[in-house]
Amino acid sequence: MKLLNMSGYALYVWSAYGIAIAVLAVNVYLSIKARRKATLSSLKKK
Amino acid sequence: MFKKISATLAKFVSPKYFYQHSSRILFVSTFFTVFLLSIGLISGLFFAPADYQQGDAFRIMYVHVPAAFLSLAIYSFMTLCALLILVWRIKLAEIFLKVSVSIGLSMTFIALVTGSIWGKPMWGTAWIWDARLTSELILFFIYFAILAIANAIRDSTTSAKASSIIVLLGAIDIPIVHYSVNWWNTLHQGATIIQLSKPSMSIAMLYPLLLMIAGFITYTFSLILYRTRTEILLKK
Repeated sequence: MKLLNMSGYALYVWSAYGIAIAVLAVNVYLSIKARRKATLSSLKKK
Repeated sequence: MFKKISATLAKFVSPKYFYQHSSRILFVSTFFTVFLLSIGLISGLFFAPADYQQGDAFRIMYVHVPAAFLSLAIYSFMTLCALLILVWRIKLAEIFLKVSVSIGLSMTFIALVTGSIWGKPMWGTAWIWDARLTSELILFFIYFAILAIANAIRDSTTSAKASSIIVLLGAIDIPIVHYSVNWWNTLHQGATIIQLSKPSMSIAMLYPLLLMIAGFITYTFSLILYRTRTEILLKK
């Protein structure tokens, strides 16, 4: 509970971590999506 | 002799050679990314002691500092790619530049947003037109301009040349961002880790930060490798 509360700064700390992790995850997701698309188009060409 | 060296170099920078030899490196760097970010996050959130002035709010540093560092490092890498494109017309550098822009933009975004979130309880304001913050915001707009130009031009060679010119023009902002805290009186604090004497931070707080910086570096490296492989696959 003390950890979640972050000595009263919970909103700031967890929102900062949440945004950072979300942006990093979106980057990975978009890269995987683009890769799937590229693989499909490469297979179609063959 | 010179011909032999240039032939070897040409082989190493060819997209085909890169595609064939990068999968193992990608696997290793992805493993290190997961490992370093997991250990860094756990130690930063659970084991690092609270700051005597900022309390637990200082933990925002573990995502803010690596993102800010990478926003500058990626741009420096892009500057090198721009030179390789304009001077030697290296195809692989064109792909590296193209895939790095959005990663750099997202790192700058994380640095700006987490900095604002950290600034609110510590400075009493989420934003101030301070030299460090303003120059970092300008860097965000430069990244955005490069991304817009790269997407607006269809021909890949012309797009790479136009992007390279903008990258070289924008490179002037990098030393300004880095040295802004020394050149002007800023609300933003000065260098804490990279100091000639010794870091003004306790070791217990410093090691999670170094782990997170290393994790962000391997994350960026892996993503650049992965996206470059995708681009090569598309061009095949």
